[in-house]
Amino acid sequence: MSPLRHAVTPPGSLDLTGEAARRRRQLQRAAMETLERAAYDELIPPTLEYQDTFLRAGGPDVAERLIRFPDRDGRILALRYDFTASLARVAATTFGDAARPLRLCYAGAVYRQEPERGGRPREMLQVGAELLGQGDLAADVEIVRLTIALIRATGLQDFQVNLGHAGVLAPGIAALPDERRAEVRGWIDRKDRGSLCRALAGATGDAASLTSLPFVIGRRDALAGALRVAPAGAVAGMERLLALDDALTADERTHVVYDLGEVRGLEYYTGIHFEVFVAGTGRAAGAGGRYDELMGRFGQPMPAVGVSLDLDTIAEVSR
Amino acid sequence: MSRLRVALAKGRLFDPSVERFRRAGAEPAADAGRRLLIPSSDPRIEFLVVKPGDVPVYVESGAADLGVTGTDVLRETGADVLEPLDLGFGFCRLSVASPADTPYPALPGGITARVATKYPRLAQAHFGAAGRPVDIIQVNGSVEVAPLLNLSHWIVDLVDTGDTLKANGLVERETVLQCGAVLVANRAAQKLKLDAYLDLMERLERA
Repeated sequence: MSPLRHAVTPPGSLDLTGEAARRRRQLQRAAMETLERAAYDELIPPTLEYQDTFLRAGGPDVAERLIRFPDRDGRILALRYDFTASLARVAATTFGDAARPLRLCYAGAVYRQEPERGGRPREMLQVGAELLGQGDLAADVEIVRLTIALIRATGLQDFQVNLGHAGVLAPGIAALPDERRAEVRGWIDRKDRGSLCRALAGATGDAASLTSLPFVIGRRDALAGALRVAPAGAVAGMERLLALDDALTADERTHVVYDLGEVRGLEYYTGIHFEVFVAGTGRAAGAGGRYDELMGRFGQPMPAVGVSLDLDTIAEVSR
Repeated sequence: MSRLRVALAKGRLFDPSVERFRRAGAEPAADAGRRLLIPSSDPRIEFLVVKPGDVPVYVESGAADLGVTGTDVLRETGADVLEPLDLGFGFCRLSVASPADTPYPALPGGITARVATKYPRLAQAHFGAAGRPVDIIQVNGSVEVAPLLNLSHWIVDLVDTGDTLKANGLVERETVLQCGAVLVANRAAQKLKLDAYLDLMERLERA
């Protein structure tokens, strides 16, 4: 064998040494201590699952981002795409008869296919929590509060949680003919207001709300203002956000921005949803929300709300 | 208010981009020389000048908060960025062209067409959607000479006036994509620097 002159790893695979390794271990420890104090029980699922577990939880779009290969018997395995799917599987089976709500947490690597040479790793260190079996406002508040506590535990000060609700844009999108939905959602996703306004110029009823509601972003007053132009079907979601705002402390509120323009994951989220942004990074450092239909896909319908943070992104900015 | 870093593309989009930002009250400093980051007449906005093909990756990664790019490059890279504003200049089209003296689209002898292009993803998607198998060859310049040198049968390239095609004995056969300049924005920057972002967007829309 020829001498190994330089280490070769596959694209999107990184070695982490010295400070980079210490930092991640330290962040993970701080986050897990916070979760333990909040009475979340750690669950360590396997790194290998049948791909069906991830497809069942995340839908067909997940398929192209799974890293998968055949097992000895020909069944298809996937590396852990996320923890939520495995936690849902365990909650529906092992904990099927356990008292509700269940508070579960996790820390470890997830593996995802990324565009080739896009500069994104295929392995990411995550930490997160799931609150299963409780569908009320208090559960939403608990997860948002926990998210803020987790980021604080990493030592970061300058961060924000952009919070929306899956029910806000749903009436407007439902009012569009089937064949136009994908295009309109694309414009909302890219914040292309010009194309959106041109296409919906003659729109009436709930569809007309799509030229304004997706651009509502700000503190409580922005939300209250938007309530006046919202279609009837969107009011419940917006009121849930207002009630959540009432429950937060003044200090927590400084980190929360209401953002009604997020259309990603609308098939998945059924209530509040959010992304975490940390100053100095070009991408979200975490995400979460309510997905009350998830557990039903594993045969045990129950409400679910959770959060996951990307510790690699956080490690890059925090000192 | 936070400072915004804007990536501008060298080449055909550069002058109209600078003009638009000048009218919006943020003119890049003329004496920038070889500096990487160029200050502007607005202290909250600085510029970065990069190769056209690199603008989407700078903005997607957050190395720049905003950028000006053509939809040709943007769709080819598939960058996950916001596209808040159509800038209304830099119009052209991405087209399939082939030699005037050969039949199109069927090639004699039942062979599969080789297509030279700087846009392999868009070309593949175009022929794929039409159910026409082709073999894509990626080149980085002088695409229009590829058929003359038997590197390829056809090309997929940007067409503005069509003079370059004509000079090389090529005929424009079909349009792949209508292109123009757009403002793109990093997804996190739009959230974290919202006030500065909305302010600049409003000035650019009016300019």
